[in-house]
Amino acid sequence: MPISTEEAAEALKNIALVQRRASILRGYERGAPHVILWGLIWVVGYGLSDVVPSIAGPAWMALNAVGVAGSFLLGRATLAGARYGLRFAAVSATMLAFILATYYVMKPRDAVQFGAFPPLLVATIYTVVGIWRGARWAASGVVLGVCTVAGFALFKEHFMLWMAAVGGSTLLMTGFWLRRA
Amino acid sequence: MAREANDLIHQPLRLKIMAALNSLAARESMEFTRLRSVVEATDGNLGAHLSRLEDVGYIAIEKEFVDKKPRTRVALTREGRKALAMHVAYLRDILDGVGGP
Repeated sequence: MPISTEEAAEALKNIALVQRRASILRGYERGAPHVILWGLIWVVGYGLSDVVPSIAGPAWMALNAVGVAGSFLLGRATLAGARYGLRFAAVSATMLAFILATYYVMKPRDAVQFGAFPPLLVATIYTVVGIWRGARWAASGVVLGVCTVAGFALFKEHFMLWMAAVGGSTLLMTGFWLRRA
Repeated sequence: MAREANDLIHQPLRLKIMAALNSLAARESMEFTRLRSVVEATDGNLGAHLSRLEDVGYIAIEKEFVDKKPRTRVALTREGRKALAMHVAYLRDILDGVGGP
């Protein structure tokens, strides 16, 4: 059966739309376990930073190592390939390196500033990614950013506890929300 | 030489299915439920069109049990990828005024 120009244009438009939707949902699927992992790490890390601040430094070093290793394992397991595992681990390691380099250059004055920077960076990345590749990332980024600034402004005394509860929960809920998409 | 339309693929839902699966890497597959969300179809409608595409060898369907729950994964075969590429090229030819009616 002959296909008209209009039909051909419509079919190509539908192909592009479906491929875009598939790509966004695949991004959610791949990202979800990593977001959940880092949500758990934030709950433990920020929780320890509030309860036992004296061990916060070594605890975060150990948790970050767990996060990078976990990203590698999750990437390898979900996509059946070490190449993707290494890529996910490299993303986590790059973000950590950026955060540490920024601390070195900007020299935060107190623990609250140290604690507020990583969530603001993550919130910015999620929002930027979401603008191009899926509204759920953007929504989560905005919520995380607003919660971080609100905690910094209103609950400085217990900012670490705030981030353990609110920041960690935001990541966990984001992960489960992405997984259900 | 003008390319030919693939009437089997050109059916709207089947075209969406093929396009969605084509966005995956060569050895990747997509869960039935995920595919249903992507192409916005009902279970029955999607199942019928998947069977048709499987019959002609354009897709491969794999059924497995995970935690005692059935899970169906769908992947595009090499033939399916090639057929879609040819049909898309045909559609583009129509827009470029090369082929078609």
